[in-house]
Amino acid sequence: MKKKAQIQMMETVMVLVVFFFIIGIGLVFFGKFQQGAIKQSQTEMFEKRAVDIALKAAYLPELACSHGQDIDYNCVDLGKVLAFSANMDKQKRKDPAYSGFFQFYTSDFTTSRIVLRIIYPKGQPPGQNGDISPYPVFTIYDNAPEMAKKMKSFVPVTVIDPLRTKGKDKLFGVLEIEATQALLENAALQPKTGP
Amino acid sequence: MIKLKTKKSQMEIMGIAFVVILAVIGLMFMIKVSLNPSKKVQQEYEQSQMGQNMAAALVKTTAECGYDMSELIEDCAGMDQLVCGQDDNGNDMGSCSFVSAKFNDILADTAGIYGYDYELSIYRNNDETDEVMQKLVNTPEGCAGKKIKNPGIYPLPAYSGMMITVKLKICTKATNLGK
Repeated sequence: MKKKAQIQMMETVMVLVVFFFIIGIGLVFFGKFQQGAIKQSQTEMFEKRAVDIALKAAYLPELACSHGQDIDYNCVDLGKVLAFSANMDKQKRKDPAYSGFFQFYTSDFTTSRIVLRIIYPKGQPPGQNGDISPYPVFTIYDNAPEMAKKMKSFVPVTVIDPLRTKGKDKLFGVLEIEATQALLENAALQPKTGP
Repeated sequence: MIKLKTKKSQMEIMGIAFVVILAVIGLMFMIKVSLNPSKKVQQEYEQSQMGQNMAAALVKTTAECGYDMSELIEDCAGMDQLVCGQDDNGNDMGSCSFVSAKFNDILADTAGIYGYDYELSIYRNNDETDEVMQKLVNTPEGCAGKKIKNPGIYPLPAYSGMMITVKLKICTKATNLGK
């Protein structure tokens, strides 16, 4: 009688062991699955944010070509780009007079890098008395950490240079937007304040 | 005694059935979630916006000779009389050869470098077979067989009521799909 009870107890214990073993495997499996799902949604969020930044940069009124009241959003005014990037200069950021300007855009562009690259015409220096390299690149905004996962996107734009043939000629350029993974953590930067 | 044993085995079968049902439900849930296609946000954006922006920017660009690309395309669709720049051998280039060469360079320096396939066609009166110039592609297959939601289309009104359409398809290279 005692032996039978012992066997029955062992049976119960074994059932419980197997049960918890299966539960454990299930939990591990579920955890792994969830980990993958979280990574995927993180990537999706990152991509959305990168696209968001690209669109904001492409439609930034501060850079867009304007003719009186009309704004051409598929066009970038090189004169405005030069003025904008001069204010965004890394050295100038330390100056309190310019740091506010930089801070104003950090909530939109967070930890990204935006440059304007002139693709055509090649070798013809636009503006600035011909002192620009054959493939001019203008840094519009640069707050990207070096060691971070990056996602590049580009927006083709028409570029007008008011210093060249009175802005009549239209160049072909691309806005290169390099969004970094760090921007997700820094997405909630300080709110916008006036420049 | 026999009745008690039957009842016990019935209970055990019920237990096994319950576990099997749970396992099947779990498996179905897993399959459903794993089959849910992941959204490639950037890819979708690029395919829908990039072609349009690129086509518009290409057509508006001013060539070295002072004509806009739109004017050169119009001339190419008509008389091909305008001369714009010279080729590597120093020969004058007509509007057709100039547009073709420059668009090819620009597309290779942008979409090509960023890892996209492209297909640019310019045709008359909404008839894709009535080509103004030969289709430009970076790979022999171009974007053939790839589903593109919104190709970039830029219509150009030309002489005597003719309409020229610049159509640019940009698609992700097969090797980039997993990026």
